[in-house]
Amino acid sequence: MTAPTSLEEYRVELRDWLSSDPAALRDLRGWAELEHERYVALGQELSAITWERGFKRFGWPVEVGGLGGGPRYRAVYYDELCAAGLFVPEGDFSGEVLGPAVIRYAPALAAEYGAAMLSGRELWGQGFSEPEAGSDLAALRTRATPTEGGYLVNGQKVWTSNGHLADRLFTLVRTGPADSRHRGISVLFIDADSPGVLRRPLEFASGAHEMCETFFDDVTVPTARRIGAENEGWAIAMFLLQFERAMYSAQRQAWLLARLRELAAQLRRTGQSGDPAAADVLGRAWLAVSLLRTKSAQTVARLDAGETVGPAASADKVLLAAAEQGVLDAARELLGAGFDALDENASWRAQWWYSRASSIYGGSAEIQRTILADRVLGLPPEQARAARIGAPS
Amino acid sequence: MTVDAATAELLRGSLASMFGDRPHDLATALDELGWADVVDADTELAQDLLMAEHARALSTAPALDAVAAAALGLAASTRFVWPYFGASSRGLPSPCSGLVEVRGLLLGDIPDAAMVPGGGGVFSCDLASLEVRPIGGVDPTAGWHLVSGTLRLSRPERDWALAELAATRGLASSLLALAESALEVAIAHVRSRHQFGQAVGSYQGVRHRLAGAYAALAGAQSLLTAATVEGGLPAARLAKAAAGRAHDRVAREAIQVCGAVGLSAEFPLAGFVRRGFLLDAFFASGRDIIRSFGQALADGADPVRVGKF
Ligand SMILES: Cc1cc2nc3c(=O)[nH]c(=O)nc-3n(C[C@H](O)[C@H](O)[C@H](O)COP(=O)(O)OP(=O)(O)OC[C@H]3O[C@@H](n4cnc5c(N)ncnc54)[C@H](O)[C@@H]3O)c2cc1C
Repeated sequence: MTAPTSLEEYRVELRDWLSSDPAALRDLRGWAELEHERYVALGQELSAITWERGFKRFGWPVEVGGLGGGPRYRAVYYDELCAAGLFVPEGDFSGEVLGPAVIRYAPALAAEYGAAMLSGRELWGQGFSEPEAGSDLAALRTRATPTEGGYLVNGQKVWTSNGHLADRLFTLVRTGPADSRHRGISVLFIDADSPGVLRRPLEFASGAHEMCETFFDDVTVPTARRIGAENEGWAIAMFLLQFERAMYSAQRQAWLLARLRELAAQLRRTGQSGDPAAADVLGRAWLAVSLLRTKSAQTVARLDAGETVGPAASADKVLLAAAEQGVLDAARELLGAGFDALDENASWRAQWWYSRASSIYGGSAEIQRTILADRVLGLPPEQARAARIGAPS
Repeated sequence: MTVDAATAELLRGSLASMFGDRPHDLATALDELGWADVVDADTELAQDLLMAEHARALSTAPALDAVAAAALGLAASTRFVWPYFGASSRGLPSPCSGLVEVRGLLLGDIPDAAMVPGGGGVFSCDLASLEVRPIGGVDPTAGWHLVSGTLRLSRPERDWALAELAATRGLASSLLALAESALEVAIAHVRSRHQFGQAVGSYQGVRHRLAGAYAALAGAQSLLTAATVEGGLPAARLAKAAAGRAHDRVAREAIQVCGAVGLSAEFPLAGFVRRGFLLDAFFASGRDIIRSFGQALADGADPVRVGKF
């Protein structure tokens, strides 16, 4: 598929192709049983196939090998993948968050590496959090010292999703004085195999290795690898947050609707599908995901129209956590003791653990509520806080 | 033809003052407002604004009847006997001809005649032979009546499905407006009420409750918008259930952060809460809708996915 086409035509063509059981995708079945590293690799294969076919190119600008068309095409792409029994490639979670920022703030880097990421040839990690900078991201300390032609980076990142598997790390670094908070932050696009980069996978509570911590020990990064201007990092992080709200939610709702259908199928197999109490639980979860779906569709449409997505989109993040936890708690409740006991439910358990993270990562449930209280509801500020959250202090 | 945002806001204002005046004759008041033209221009918007302002004013005028009448192409003064709580929103169970036991609701004052839904359409009926008495329930101020007795029915007219869809959406609009009103009351209260030398709205526990309620409301609003654009009764029903749940969430948080006054009948909160509970229970309750979606999912029928990218 290469010719520009309307969103509706795109949706239909993609759906038809996916439902035709293309031979290229047959090797991808069975993804649900894989350990994390294999699953990530399979996602890269999926991206390579759909990039080759053209479907994945829609919604991305020509500068990165795309066919244009805006973020709504991308949302349709993930929606249809999951509806067809596939999944959202792991690389696309970080890709959707980081890709638009690289395109906007570092066109040359986007031209050089964008297509490689989108087509599944490389994986990008988001190096924001540090041991001492979680919710309070502006406290980050990883230092980039100017040198001739670039920077020398020293410090530590943690909780980087798929960071140990990534080829490049979109890394927030301190370029201003130690106490410069949001004013002294820059972004560097660091090769993960640079000398001095040491990565250690972290074992998640589910047993999976989904995240890593990264140590930077005198890592040399050329100026050409800076994204945006020096000390423009906070603005870039805020820009990227819009995509994290809108597109990530669009991706997750697609995934969650598919999980709910799968849960229902499992209940049918075990003869539990006639229970009205189960219907109540499933119905509530369906509603929770539907709220996420319609809200994220609205927000994606605003991004698509070039509007800035403001603080009201924190509601999307709150709805995301409610949907993730609604679905996985439903599975936990309805699958009974077998949820925790049986080997065959390992994937459900892993997803349950991940659902708990949805109210922590990307700005916790508490941080989102504070943003809404301050900037949408106009409630009186908290007295005991030293710094405002999510906005320059 | 479409109605632009500024015109919609003007209309909202006119409807608010119309309901504020407690109209004795809603059809005439709507007529004076040029209602029929707005319905022609943008039916869904007209109905959404009507039901939202009706709810905000806690009006007892039969606005839902006007919505159903417009959907069926009947005069705005047409009245209906609505299905009783727990009964199907389709109306009387079929077959319904000959002598039929009727048990339904009149939303507002008591007319001489009304339309009764059933058999896919509506029947014109004389109410003289029926027993009519006010209902109690959670919100006696709504002015609803229980109608019961036996009617002789012949052939149904019109297509009730159109009214069922419009009414379902209309109730969702009302529920969202009630939730929004309750949230506004709570926000105003926590800004002005001081304890320990600070506005109670500066305490994180209070702030986060209201922020969570806002998010639930914003989600339900997006669902109704999408359901209206995409059409269909299943989507509208899900939107009504969502609006009812959002209202319930707002109600709980608002009551908590207002303290004792939030439970007082003299404070404006309880009115919005009670009316919402009534509407959630009415015309396919939120609970029943959610269960039916869950059952469809359990049965392997893919329920409608509301929301298009
Ligand atoms: C699965 C997963 C994947 C992740 N992926 C990445 C990634 O790819 N890249 C990356 O950079 N990071 C990632 N993170 C890290 C994530 O962004 C942080 O966990 C998050 O910012 C919260 O920081 P923290 O864990 O240090 O919690 P803390 O900030 O220590 O918070 C602890 C608790 O205190 C609450 N809290 C903190 N401040 C306030 C306040 N002002 N008011 C009220 N409550 C408050 C929080 O809500 C939370 O409940 C990931 C995390 C998880 C769980």
